[in-house]
Amino acid sequence: MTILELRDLHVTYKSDRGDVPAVRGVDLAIAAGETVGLAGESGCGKSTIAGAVLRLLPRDTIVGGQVLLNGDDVYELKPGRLRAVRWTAAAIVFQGALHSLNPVRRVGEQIEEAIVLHSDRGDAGTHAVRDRITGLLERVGLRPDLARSYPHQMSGGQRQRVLIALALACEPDLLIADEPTTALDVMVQAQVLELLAELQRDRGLALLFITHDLSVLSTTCDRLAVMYAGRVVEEGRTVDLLKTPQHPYTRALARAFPTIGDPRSRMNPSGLGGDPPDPTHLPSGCPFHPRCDMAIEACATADVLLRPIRPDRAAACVHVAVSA
Amino acid sequence: MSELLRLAGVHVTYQSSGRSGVVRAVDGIDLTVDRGEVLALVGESGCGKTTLIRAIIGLEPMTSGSIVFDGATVATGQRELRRLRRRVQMIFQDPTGALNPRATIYEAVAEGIRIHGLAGPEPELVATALAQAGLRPPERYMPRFPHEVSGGQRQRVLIAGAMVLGPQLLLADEPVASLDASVRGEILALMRVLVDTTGISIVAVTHDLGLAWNIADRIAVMYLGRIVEVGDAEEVLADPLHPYTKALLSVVPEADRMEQQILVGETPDPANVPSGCRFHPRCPLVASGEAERLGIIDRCRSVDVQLVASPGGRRSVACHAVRLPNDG
Ligand SMILES: Nc1ncnc2c1ncn2[C@@H]1O[C@H](COP(=O)(O)OP(=O)(O)OP(=O)(O)O)[C@@H](O)[C@H]1O
Ligand SMILES: Nc1ncnc2c1ncn2[C@@H]1O[C@H](COP(=O)(O)OP(=O)(O)OP(=O)(O)O)[C@@H](O)[C@H]1O
Ligand SMILES: [Mg+2]
Ligand SMILES: [Mg+2]
Repeated sequence: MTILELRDLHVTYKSDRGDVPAVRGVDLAIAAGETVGLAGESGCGKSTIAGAVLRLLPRDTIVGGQVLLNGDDVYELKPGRLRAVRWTAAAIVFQGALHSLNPVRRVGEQIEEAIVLHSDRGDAGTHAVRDRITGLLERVGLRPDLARSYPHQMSGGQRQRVLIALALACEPDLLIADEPTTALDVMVQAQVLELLAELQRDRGLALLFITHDLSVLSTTCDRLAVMYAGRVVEEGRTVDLLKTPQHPYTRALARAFPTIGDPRSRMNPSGLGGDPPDPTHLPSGCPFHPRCDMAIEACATADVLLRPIRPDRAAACVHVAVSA
Repeated sequence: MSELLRLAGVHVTYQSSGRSGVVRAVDGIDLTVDRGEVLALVGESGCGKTTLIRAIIGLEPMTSGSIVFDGATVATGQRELRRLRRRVQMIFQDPTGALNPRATIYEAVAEGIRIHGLAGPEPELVATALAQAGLRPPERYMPRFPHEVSGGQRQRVLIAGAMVLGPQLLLADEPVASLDASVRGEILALMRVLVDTTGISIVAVTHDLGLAWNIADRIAVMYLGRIVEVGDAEEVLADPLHPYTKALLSVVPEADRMEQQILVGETPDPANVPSGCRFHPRCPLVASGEAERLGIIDRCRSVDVQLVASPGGRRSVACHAVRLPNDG
């Protein structure tokens, strides 16, 4: 069953500098129990997609295309339905939200508020709600007594787990996790990834996993979509895509995380030169061509859209041969 | 290589609210940093990494222990700390909050010069530091505001702000955790170049073992307020001796990886440090019965284990089950 479907999604922000076309035609579908990874560097439009799904973008933002959540077009929903859909149909673990926790309230109270405000699971202070808080904390690997702590008394990793507990408060069908493990150490990351996998198996949770860290996605996702400048430039099944990246950008991303023990990367960190493109001043042709080590003359003029390579596999590069 | 920093028996405790007793966030750290080296300090969230480096520059008072920097014991008076903070610079864990959004990049870098009353022409010092951090030409970046540059460039601004004071030691708390994969490599390369060209030392706090492989000379693994293994990065990563180090390495996400050892059990709580070896409740050697077979299980449960150095002194491990290789 398809939980989320994006059809030719376009998002353009309004700003003093003019229009900012942050997402420029993205198609994506996620089924129940499936994890889809959305990768790509800063500014490519990942969080914009997350915000577009739940209509959390600034009011004057222009959204084109369709966002279907459990078959309903999110942009046609009445305000009451929309409120219900947020948290219970889909919830977001926001990027960089470690400071979004209220500093002067105990984390248990903050989880309680999410439960009471957004679901019909009972009133504040009842046993049912307290048990639920305990259950949520345990589920994200925190000691229940931490409910009495204030955010500043917790480490960065502990706070991040509180945020995941918050997002799970109303048992959503779809969890959008925007850089959920970026601030975490590898052990907690492994635990959180295992936790997310478990939620999926047991509850059929669909997961949209957003991060710039391909290595994290490599072990968790069924499918990957790599974004560049507001578009998906390569997609496919995870193993297939990482083993034989077709787009030069995917290849550069994959190289950025070293394999420990590989002498080529010892004392030799690998990055990608140049800066990510500014959406208000996109390069002509293929937007990646100024940073691409495989660019040919045609790349400066011809924009290339996703080309199917084989079933479940596509890339947007002039060097990719289109399947028959 | 000569020693720049020596920590001996450093303890930092917090009073815990809500819970009983004290939080032993840093619980007896012995550690040295040589001149011109990158030391990666790795360990789980909450193990005390940030607390430890904050203690080094006096932002957290030590409960006990001593710090020797550049040959002199660090006193805790305000004036001494001020002097120390010029020679030891810190880049904080969260770069988004670290820059004032209303101050230009010039002002951000010049701030340290003003605070410490550094002699010399300010614009030139700022320009040199920006260029050193890879923001060239510096004039182009000076008038900009933080939101007008990319995340990687903001991290370079922070590095420039630290380098402008000509420190001997840079404490970098998760320097690339918030950066893109593509930018990450460039910032790491910059850090390595700074070390190799200026002779500065860097302590890089990280949970990213790939960072250690990319730029660190040595690596120190921290668990629940203590160092449990320290040695040359290449050796520790190729041949980890402590079971905790082994577990950490096993969960590094890599496409073709060894079998994962995800540690379960209680999240380690510095308010309740286990008796014996503090790692024993989560130790795979204990769980698998290996410690029992080795006949050390009683010691694991009751004897607090100290770091033991190899004969050559390059490698130290705190584990009842480990015999150190002879590197002497
Ligand atoms: N409210 C806004 N007004 C104008 N432009 C915006 C707004 N929010 C985001 N943008 C721009 O839209 C583009 C996409 O931003 P988005 O936050 O989706 O990127 P991202 O892929 O999530 O990046 P990161 O990895 O840094 O989180 C960027 O160029 C950003 O500067
Ligand atoms: N002000 C405080 N009061 C009480 N406990 C604290 C305080 N600050 C930190 N702690 C506790 O001390 C321990 C060490 O925290 P610290 O921030 O040093 O960890 P860390 O290793 O830097 O973690 P992370 O990787 O998540 O940043 C944690 O258990 C934390 O909960
Ligand atoms: Mg984002
Ligand atoms: Mg920290």
